[in-house]
Amino acid sequence: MAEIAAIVFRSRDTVERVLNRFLRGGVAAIPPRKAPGRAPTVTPAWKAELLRVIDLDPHTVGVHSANWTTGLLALSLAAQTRVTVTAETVRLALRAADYVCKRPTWTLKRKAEAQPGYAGNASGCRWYGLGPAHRPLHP
Amino acid sequence: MTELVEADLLDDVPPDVEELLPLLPHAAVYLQDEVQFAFHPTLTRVWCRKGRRGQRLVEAPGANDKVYGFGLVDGCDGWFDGRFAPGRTADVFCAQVRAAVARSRPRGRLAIVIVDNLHTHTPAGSKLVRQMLAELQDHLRIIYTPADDPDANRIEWLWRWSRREVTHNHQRPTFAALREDMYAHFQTLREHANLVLRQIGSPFAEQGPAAQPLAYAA
Repeated sequence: MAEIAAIVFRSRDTVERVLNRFLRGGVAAIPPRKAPGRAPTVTPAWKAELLRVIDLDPHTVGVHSANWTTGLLALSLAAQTRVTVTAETVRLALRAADYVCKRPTWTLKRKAEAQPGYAGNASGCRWYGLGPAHRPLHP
Repeated sequence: MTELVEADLLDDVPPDVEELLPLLPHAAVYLQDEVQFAFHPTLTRVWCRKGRRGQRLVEAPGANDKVYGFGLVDGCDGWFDGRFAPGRTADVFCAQVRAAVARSRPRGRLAIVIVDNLHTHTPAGSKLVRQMLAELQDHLRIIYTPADDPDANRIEWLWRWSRREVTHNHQRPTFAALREDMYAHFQTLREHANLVLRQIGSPFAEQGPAAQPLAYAA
């Protein structure tokens, strides 16, 4: 058993466990089984809805707040998807989706778009490589 | 007094505390303050994607219209009186304090109102306040907090909720829409007295799970 473990880079316990499964159920029992434990509460639909609403103004989905918080998201998604989770679960889901809590920055996009000849960050131009004299005052 | 304050701190106790303590059993204590709601959003951290490209953009409106909200809270039962005005003027302040007195008088209670030192709150700075104090001297006491000490008036804590719900990172395209949010928010404060008490850290707030956890979300 120890020799096999060294060859397949697994522990002796693992080799013994797989061998026992083979003896009990044959080749069909060998592939890894689904990990035991409770199924996750959140569903793919819940995650998709979370990633959809996080980019929206909360007022547009009937939440009377200017900002999303994890608690607000949990309540709003519970009403929409019937999946009730805590604020901490929302936080973990956002972190898993590469979201962080960060300060926003200003834009004058709407006002600037009303002016002819405007070019700024909205068009993807970052004005890198140009001297300070060429950079717009308000990107 | 010696039961409430450590002996070495007795010298720091304001002189009027001795006089005010016996009034408390027959008084309603109100906290009053103003908050500025401006069209130019206040910024705070918000959920956004990692990296610079993920940073959210908040529209700067250019013209910074503003309005002032006047708030008055009963520190014991969470009753809230909210008003709006274009400036922090004495007429609105006096109307609000008179509303507190009108509420307390039928109950046989003295109205003690804790306010900051804004000149329109003081008899020295406002004729209206002088008149009001003279008229209601048997039913009203105004307590001024020390200068530059916002922690002395717990209603300041309430505005944190207002900022989060109304002004932080707001995306309202017009000031009229933002104004609607302000009215709705003050209405929420009127309807959720216990949440108001919890927000200002009142010892009279009912503890336990929040009936309306929206305001307390992280």
